[in-house]
Amino acid sequence: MAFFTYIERYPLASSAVFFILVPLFVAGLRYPQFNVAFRLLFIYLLLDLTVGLWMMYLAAHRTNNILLLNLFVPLRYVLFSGMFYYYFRSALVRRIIFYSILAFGPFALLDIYASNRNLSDLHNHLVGRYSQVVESVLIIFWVLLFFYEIIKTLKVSNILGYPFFWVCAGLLIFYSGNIFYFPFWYYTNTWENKLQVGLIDDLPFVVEIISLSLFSIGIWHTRSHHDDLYS
Amino acid sequence: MTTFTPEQIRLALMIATSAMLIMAGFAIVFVIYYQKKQLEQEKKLRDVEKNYQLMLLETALHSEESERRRIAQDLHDDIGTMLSLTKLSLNQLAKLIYRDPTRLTSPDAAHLNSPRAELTLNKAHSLVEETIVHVRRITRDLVPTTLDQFGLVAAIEEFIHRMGENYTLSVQFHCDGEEIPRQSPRVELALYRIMQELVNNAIKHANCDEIVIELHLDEGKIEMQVTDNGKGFDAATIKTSDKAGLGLRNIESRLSVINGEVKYQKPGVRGSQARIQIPVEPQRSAKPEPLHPFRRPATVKG
Repeated sequence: MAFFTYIERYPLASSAVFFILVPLFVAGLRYPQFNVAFRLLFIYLLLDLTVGLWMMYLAAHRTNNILLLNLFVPLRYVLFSGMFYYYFRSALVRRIIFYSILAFGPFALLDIYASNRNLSDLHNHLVGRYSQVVESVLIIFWVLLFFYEIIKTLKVSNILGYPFFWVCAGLLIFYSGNIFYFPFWYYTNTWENKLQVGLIDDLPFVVEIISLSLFSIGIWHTRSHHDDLYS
Repeated sequence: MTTFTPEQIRLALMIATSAMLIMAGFAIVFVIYYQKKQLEQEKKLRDVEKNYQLMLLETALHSEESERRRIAQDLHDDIGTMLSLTKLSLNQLAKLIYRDPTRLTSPDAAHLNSPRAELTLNKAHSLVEETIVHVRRITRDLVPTTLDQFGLVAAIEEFIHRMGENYTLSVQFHCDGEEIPRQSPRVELALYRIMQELVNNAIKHANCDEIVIELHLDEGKIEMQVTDNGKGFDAATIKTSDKAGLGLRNIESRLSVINGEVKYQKPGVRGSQARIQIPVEPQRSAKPEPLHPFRRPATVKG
């Protein structure tokens, strides 16, 4: 009952979670055509839905759910950067991505610890201060580097039919829309919320819905696209 | 220390996020636009290169035909004339010997009046005649004058007629002669040369005893099929071979110049079939042009 009350009270936040079903449904149709990168995206979508529903459930029962978000951030970075690791062929770029994954995990855990000195107090748990910002900078960098590769190599004949382009567009919108807002999550997501940012509070859900729509387009296009950036 | 009010933070966040989203949107649109633009330019460049290659190919084929004409003309004008003169001289010599045998009674010329001398003269005469026939045949093979004057159908018919003289195999030609409009000389010549190449290939390599040539119109295209009942071949394998694939590559080169295409298939258990299609050009005057068989292309003098 509390769950449905929560949905009623926070329709936009709930919609963002349920909207994950759209790309997941398309992914179910296109799964046989998926390469490694899109399988990682599929895993991300499954995890995102699970974490989203779990967080909604906890929020509906007035339980602090931020620990889930904090743990999801490094996992999300591993999956997204893994997709770029698959698409880039340059050994140097791949090595940098690999080291960034190795470095980001411990950094995110350290950030959680630094933001929540008393980890046993789950009730007053806070969002990590820096990990999401660093994650945004890194992912935006990989997306822009990938766009540069597309322009440089000119191997993609129809960019609007190129699946990973849409995924990159979704990632760029998501992280660009949140990069300035992420630092404030530490202050806004508390029990005694003293900082009210109004409409901006809804922004993450809006950009998430937009990015999920773009992911869906990308997944849909995996049907018959054979262009390889480095073929 | 300056402290910010929630309104100031909200405004700053709103501006920064909007700017970031606009930049993201701009980046996405820019990639789409720039990539499309670059691809268009690349396509144009490829088209220019392709046209240049076609032009080179066309020039090479044209030079080849000019050279054939030149050789044919030299054979006809020089060798042919000399052979005719030789034949004439031999005829005169024969007349001299047989009309006035008294002239050969002198001791010096006695050996000319023997049966052996007559035999040698006849042999020389028949050799010269045979050489004249060969020169004519080579000249006709080099420059199909019938093609210029009467068109592709007549030229193929003549080619088959000549084949009948030389080879013990059945060559059939099926054509809706009335339906095939006259095409430009380069198109007709290309089709003729391709037919020649395919028939020669069938004779040389296919070990066949029947060749069927078909020529007809099909949905705005001229379609020519050359089918044999030989051992067949795999076009893809042959094309990759350095020497063996030369003929097939020549066919493709000629077709690329006239915007045509070729498909190779197996008509049955045995044999092979080449199917050539070219777009029909606007109708050319059916009236034969008054051509010199071995005319050189007209040159403009300044």
